[in-house]
Amino acid sequence: MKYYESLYIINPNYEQDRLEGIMKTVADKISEYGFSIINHRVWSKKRLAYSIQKHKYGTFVLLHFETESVEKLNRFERFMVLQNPIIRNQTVGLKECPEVETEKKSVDLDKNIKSMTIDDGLSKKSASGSEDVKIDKSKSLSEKGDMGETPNEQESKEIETLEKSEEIVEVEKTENNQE
Amino acid sequence: MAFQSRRKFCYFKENNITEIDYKDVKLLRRFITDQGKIMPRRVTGTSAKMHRKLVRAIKQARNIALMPYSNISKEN
Repeated sequence: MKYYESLYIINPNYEQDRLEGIMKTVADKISEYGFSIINHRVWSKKRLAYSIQKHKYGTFVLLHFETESVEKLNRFERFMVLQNPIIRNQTVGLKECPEVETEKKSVDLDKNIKSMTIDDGLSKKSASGSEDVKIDKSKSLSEKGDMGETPNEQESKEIETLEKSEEIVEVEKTENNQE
Repeated sequence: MAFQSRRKFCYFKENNITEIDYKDVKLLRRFITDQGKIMPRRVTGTSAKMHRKLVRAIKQARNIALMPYSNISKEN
């Protein structure tokens, strides 16, 4: 058996339900061809390095599967190209069996985008690039990974980090004035 | 001698990396210029074997829009 990894980009304007619908059609097609799925999950929503079909962002979906039939693999790639919501796809062969992901990672895209915008705000405010803000960023990143916390707790922590960064900026300003 | 050349080393050999993943953009960014071009082996000091793997990974990342083909248009 040979292992393959397929990474495809879905139109970023699609909401969660339609996204899951597309993933389901891909999964159905794969089972129709007789491939066995190892992993199939949303990787993240990312900014594209160059615009594709006038899209600046894209939702990346990662798919691991195994098969022996090369002919069916070509047909699968053809199927992926013909899907309108999928703006780009790439299938790569793997040497080793990929790790099976048992835990379901956070796939809530809206929350990710929200935290991304807050991080951008932080970086803009701290033009001097103090280390404390960097630590705050890493904290907020680790909070994203935790599934146990409720969204309200996460928001309150993010607000705290924002307040902290504002304090740091104020302190820096006063220091500059003293000089 | 006033100037001594800095010793070149293979980044992958030093860090015991044998396979390069095209999704690891943070790593791949070390080996491209600001324009987005792949840096030559004589500059980076990468071993021939790993450079071939690196080039392949960068080209795969470019195809799936994780890395740019060219950054010149952004600057203008």
